[in-house]
Amino acid sequence: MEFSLTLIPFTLLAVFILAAIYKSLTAEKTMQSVYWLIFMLVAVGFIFLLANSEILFAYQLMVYSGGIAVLMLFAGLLTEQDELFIDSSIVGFIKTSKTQVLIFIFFAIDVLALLLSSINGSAYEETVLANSEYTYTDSAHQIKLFASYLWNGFAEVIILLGFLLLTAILGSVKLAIRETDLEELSDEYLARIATTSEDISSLPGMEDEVEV
Amino acid sequence: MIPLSYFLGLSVLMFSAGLFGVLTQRNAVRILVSVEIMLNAANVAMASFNGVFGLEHVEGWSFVIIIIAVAAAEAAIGMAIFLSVFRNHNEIIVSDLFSLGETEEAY
Amino acid sequence: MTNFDPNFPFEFLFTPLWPDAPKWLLVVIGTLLLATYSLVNQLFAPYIERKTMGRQQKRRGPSYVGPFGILQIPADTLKLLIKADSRPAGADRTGFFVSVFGVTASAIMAFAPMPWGSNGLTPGHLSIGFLYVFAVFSIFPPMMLIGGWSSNSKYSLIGGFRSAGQLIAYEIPMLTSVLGVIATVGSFDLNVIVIYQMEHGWFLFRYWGAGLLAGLIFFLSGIAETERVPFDIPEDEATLVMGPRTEFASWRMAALMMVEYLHMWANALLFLYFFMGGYDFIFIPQDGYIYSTYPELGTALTAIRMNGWVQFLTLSIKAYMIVFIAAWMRSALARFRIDQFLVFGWKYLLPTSLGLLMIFLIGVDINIFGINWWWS
Repeated sequence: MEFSLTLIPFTLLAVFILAAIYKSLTAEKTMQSVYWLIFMLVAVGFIFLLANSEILFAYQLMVYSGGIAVLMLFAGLLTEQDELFIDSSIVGFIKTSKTQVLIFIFFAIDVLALLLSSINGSAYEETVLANSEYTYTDSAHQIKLFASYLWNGFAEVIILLGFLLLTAILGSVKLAIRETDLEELSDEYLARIATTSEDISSLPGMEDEVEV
Repeated sequence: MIPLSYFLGLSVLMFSAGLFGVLTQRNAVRILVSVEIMLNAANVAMASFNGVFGLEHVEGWSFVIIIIAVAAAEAAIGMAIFLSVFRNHNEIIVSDLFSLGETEEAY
Repeated sequence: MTNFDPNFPFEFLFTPLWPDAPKWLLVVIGTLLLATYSLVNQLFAPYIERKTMGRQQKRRGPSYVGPFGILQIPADTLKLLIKADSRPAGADRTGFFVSVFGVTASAIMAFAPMPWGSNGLTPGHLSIGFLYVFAVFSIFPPMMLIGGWSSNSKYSLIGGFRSAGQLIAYEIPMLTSVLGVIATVGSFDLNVIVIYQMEHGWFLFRYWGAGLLAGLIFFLSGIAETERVPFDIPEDEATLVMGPRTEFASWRMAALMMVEYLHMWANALLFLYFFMGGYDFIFIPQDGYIYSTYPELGTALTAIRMNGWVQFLTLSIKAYMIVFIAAWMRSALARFRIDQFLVFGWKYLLPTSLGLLMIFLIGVDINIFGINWWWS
C-alpha cells in the first residue's frame, strides 16, 4: 500500500477523536463531558471531509455541533448536580474498576475481529474493492445528484422527518415549559408589566415613550 | 488515499466506546452523550463506504442525513425530559429514579 | 479534498513573471496573500468605524497615533498582546482555552471559499461554498457558551446563554433568506452566484421587491450574528459587564475583538456575493437592454468588469461601505430587549423569509417529488 499525505491528518484526527471520547467518558463534570463531545463532533466533521463527502461536513457542523451540541450544553447546565455527593463517582468507577475496562476491551476486540475477518474475506474483495473508484472530478455534480435523489427517491422519508422534527419541537416545548413561564405569558402579567412601566415613565427623565 | 479499513477501524473503536459509556454511565445527560458517540460511529462508517463507491452513489449520504435528523429530534426530546425530571425529582442519576409520579418523596 | 483541481490564486500575476513556477508554491503564496489581506483589513475596519462614530457624535475619533490616527488599532492590538495573561480562579482550563481558540479558528476558516475575483482569486475551491461558510460559523454558539461557563462567572454564564440563544435564532432566517438565490442559481459556489448576477442582474433588485426584502433580512441577521449594536444583547455592558467575554484578558481579548470584526467582514462579503453582485462594479445585466442595443459599449464594459484588479478593488470598497453602514447603525440605534429580539427573529423574520422563498421559487425551474411544476 502506497503512502499518501492524507494519512497524516487522518491519523491525527483519529487520535484526537479517541482521546476526546476518553475525556468525555471520564470527565468529572457533566459540562466537561459535553464539551469534549462537541470537540469530537467537529473532528468527525473533518473525517467526513477526508472521506470524500463535503456536504456531510457541512451538515455535521451545522446540525450536530451547531444545534444538537447547544441542546446538550443546555441540558448539562440546567440539570447540573454537584457530583461530589454521588457516592461512587463515575470517574473512579471507570478508572479503577478493571472489569469494566476488560468489558470494553472485549467489545473492541470482538467487533474488530469481526471486521478483520470480513475484510480479509473474498466477498469483501469482490463487492467493495472491485467497485471502489476514487475519481476526483466535479463534486458539484454529485451534490446535485444527491438533491435529486433526496427529493425523488426519498421524498416520503423527508416529509416524515419533517413531521418528526415538528413533533419533537412541540413536544419538547410542552415538556420543558413551566407553569410560571405560562404565567409570564398571560394577560394579567403583561397588564402588571404595563402598569409598572407607566410608573417608570412618570419618573423625571423618563417622559419619552416606554414600549411595553 | 486512506484505505477503507482505517475508517472502519475508527468507527469500531468509537462504537465500542459509546456502548461502554451507555452501559457504565449513570447520569442521564452522559448516557445521551454516549448515544451520540455511537450514532457518530455509524455515520463515519456510512460516509466512508459512500466515499469509496465513486461519484454516482449518494445513498450513504441519505442515511447519514436521516440519522442526523433523528439525532436532533432525540436530543431535543431528551433535553426536555431531563429538564422536567430534574425539576420534579431534583435528581438526574438514572439509577436513583424510582417513582413515576410528580412530587412524591419516595426516598 | 474532493475537488482535486485546486485553483491558483494570483496565477495571472505570476505566470508572466515566472512561467514554470511550481504549482504548490503558487497555492501557498496565493493563499497566504489572501489570508493576510483579510486579516490586515480587520485592523482598519475598526478605524473606519470609530472615525464614523466620532464624526456622528461631533468628535474626531482616533487622531494621535500615525497620520489621521490610522495606526490606533494596531497600537491597541500590540498593547493587548503584551499585557499579562490572567485566568479567573476556578476557571475550567480546557474550556477557557479551547473556546477562544475554536472561535478564532472558525472565524478565519470562514474566508476559504470567498472569491476576490473571477479569474481564480479564491483561496480554496469548495463545491459547497456557502454551506461551508455557514457550517464553520455555526461552531460559534457552543464555543461562546463553553467560554461563558468555563469563566466561572455569573455575567459570563448569562451572556453565554443569551449568545447561544440569539445566534441559533438568527442562523435560521439567515439561511432561509438566501435559499431562493441558491435555488435560482443552482449552485452553492459563491463564484458561480456572482457570475450569474453579472449576466442576469443583482438579486437585490429582482423578483418584484422580494430580493430587496430578502437582502434586508439577510443583512439584519448578519448584524445579529455578529452581536453588534443594536443587537448586542449578550454583551449588555450596563447589566452584564461584557457578556461571555467578561473574563477574557490580554491576547484572548484581542482575539475575540478580531473575531467580532472578522464576522462582520465575512457577513458583509456574503451579503455582497448574494445580493449586490460581489466583485461586479456596476448594475447592468449582460442579457439586458443596454448590452443588446449598444454592443460596443457592452464589450468595453465587459472588459472592465472582468479585469482582476477592478474586481478586487470593487469588492474591498463595497465591503468598507457595509462596514460604514454597520458603524452608522451602531451610533444611531439603541439596544433591543432580549425577548423582543427573539420574538422578532422567530415570529417575524422566519415566516417572512419562508414566504420570500416561495416567491423566489416561482421563477425557478424546480423538480420536486418527481413533478416538473407548471412554471418551469
